[in-house]
Amino acid sequence: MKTERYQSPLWRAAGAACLVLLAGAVLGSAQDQSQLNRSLKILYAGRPGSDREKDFVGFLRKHFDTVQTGDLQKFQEADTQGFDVTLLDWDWNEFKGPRPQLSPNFSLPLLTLGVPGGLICDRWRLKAGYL
Amino acid sequence: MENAAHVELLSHEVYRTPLTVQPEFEFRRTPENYRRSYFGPGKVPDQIKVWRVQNNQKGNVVARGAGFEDSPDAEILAVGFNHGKAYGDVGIGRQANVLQWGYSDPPSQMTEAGRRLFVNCIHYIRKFDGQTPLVRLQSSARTNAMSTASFLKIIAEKDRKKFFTSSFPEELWEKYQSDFDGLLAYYQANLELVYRDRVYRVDAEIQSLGLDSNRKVETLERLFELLKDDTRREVAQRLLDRYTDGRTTFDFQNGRDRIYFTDVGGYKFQVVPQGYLIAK
Repeated sequence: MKTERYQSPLWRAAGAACLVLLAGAVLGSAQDQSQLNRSLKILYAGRPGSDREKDFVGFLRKHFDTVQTGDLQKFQEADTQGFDVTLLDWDWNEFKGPRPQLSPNFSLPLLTLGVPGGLICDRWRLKAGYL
Repeated sequence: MENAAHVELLSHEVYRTPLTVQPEFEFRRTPENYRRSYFGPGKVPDQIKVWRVQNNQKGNVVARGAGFEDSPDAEILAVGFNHGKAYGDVGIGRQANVLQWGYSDPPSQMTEAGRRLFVNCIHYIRKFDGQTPLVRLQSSARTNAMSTASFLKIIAEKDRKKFFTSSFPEELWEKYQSDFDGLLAYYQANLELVYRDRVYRVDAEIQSLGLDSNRKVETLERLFELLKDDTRREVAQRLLDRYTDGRTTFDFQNGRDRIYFTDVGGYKFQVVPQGYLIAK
């Protein structure tokens, strides 16, 4: 009975459609991945040894070949030399995290994260500062 | 900010490149603070269409949306759905070489769409290598005069005058102390003339010259022309002192499209440097 059901034209068509969708998703994902610039060199400056650091770094390494870590507490702008993008992060929702200073003409790409990031932007008097 | 973003900006390239971000949409009840902080056109709907960026509802942060894009170095990438701040406040935003991601969850707690957008943001900010901010926060945007006026109603009566005079000229207290809607309407009607000099003021001198805005390039050009008019030179110079830094030179013939006015940068006209990357 069960076999007959799956051999019906309707079920075969549905199965074929599923395969097409699955193949599309796999190909789409592969196509997406090929668009990634894996060679970007990434510095993640956060809280060394934290679960949060592991979470971010594990994720970043799936998308970029070079991912190094740093300690936001000791961060200096010279640390960004040689990296394409630097991420500045600290614990989740932490109001007392480090807020490094930068010179006004610092121009390398930075991505700041969450509440600590907002407070860092605030210190730099940027529009993205903590509200 | 909650764990979601508004949907208005999904056509931006950061949602398409290099990864395709495919958010799942949902509707959430409009927060009451949106009604207090939205001044048209029309009214805010009863529900807001959003997409979930991550799991956690708490621990996220927005930046002020008012004035965020009043200089060409800054752009909003995601409006943050929030219950505590204002309609239009910024969940993800960029100014020059710095991109602030206001959501707090690590990747394992992001949605697939959130993770993809995060990867795209890393690629996107790379494009702004070498760009420094054109503007540093000096003041707040003129629309904050309206937000503040609408906020007066919920301030305890004993504190109202102090609150009022910290944001508005004392001479307006007599007229509007029991008519905050009137105060709001006054600033709304004169929005193009508002500037901030400790408090939000409507620029009567701009009006006296027959000009309808303090932030149009035409106004700046006219003020320079009026320096040649003996009868209006003095007021024109005073306005140029108010709205320029006195050092910047403006090329109205060949560099007109590079002149901009920023509220949050101190209510000044400024010029975008040659070669500066504007991603709009």
